[in-house]
Amino acid sequence: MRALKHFDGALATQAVNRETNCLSLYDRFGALAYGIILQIIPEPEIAQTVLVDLFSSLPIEFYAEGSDPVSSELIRLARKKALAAKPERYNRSLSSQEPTTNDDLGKLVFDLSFYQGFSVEDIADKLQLTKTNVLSMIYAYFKQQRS
Amino acid sequence: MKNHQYLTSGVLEAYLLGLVSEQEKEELERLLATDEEVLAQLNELETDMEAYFLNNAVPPPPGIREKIELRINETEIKKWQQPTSGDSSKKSSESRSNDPHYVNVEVDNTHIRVHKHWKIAFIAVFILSKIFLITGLYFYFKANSLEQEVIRLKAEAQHAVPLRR
Repeated sequence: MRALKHFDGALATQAVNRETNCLSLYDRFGALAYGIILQIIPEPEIAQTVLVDLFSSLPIEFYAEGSDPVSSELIRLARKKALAAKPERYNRSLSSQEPTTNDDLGKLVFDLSFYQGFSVEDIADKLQLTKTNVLSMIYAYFKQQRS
Repeated sequence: MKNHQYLTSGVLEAYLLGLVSEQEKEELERLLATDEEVLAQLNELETDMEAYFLNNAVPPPPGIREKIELRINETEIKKWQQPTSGDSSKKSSESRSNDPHYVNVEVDNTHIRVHKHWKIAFIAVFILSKIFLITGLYFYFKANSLEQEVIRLKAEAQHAVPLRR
């Protein structure tokens, strides 16, 4: 009986810790994740559902004691969940994407790969580039954003 | 691939964004474990990437935090209930029925659990309602019989007056 009470106590502590840690992660990265999700699903109602799902089902490594989750892990997870929940009507074909200028090409490659979920190989194939070129464009795009 | 090439090839960006294949990911993680220069570049890039996405951040509506809190609590309750499913659910329901603090009330096959004090309150309300009903009926019939008695006496009195004359 005492062991059962101890077990219940441990579970309760774990539950409270999880809630506190998940909510503090939400306070820190909620707006960042919502921005990503909204870019992928431009429908606030669905985007909010994905956001709630994201922060209420975070993998244990995100909120375990002593862990220091980095933003990139959360960025990847937000993208993955949003792409999985994206309604069919928001799926655009690769052929409908045409860059207007050369500067737009880096942004287009980034949009296609990150926000629309196309593989680097598919993008390379469509834009008649090599995979290395596509990755270089992502590099150049972020370099441009940093400067 | 040479280490320097990693820094300018876009592989690090693709890795952080989750765009690389499993094989490329493993290859890069092996390199990160041994090459401090690449690791430092990755950390720096991660900070820049966070800043980029923070620039495009959108504050969620105020109710979302409560929804997340509620969902986490629901998940925890489900987890809590899971070990008591199956054989142990019988034991738990038995122990609940023996629990002196709660009384199981059945309404249309759905169970609700109420505090035992409510049982006393329900019984008290039930008894009081019966007492009021009986008292009400008693006074109603009594008033009715008194009214009839008054009518009868009035009739007798009217009948007696002409006789005296």
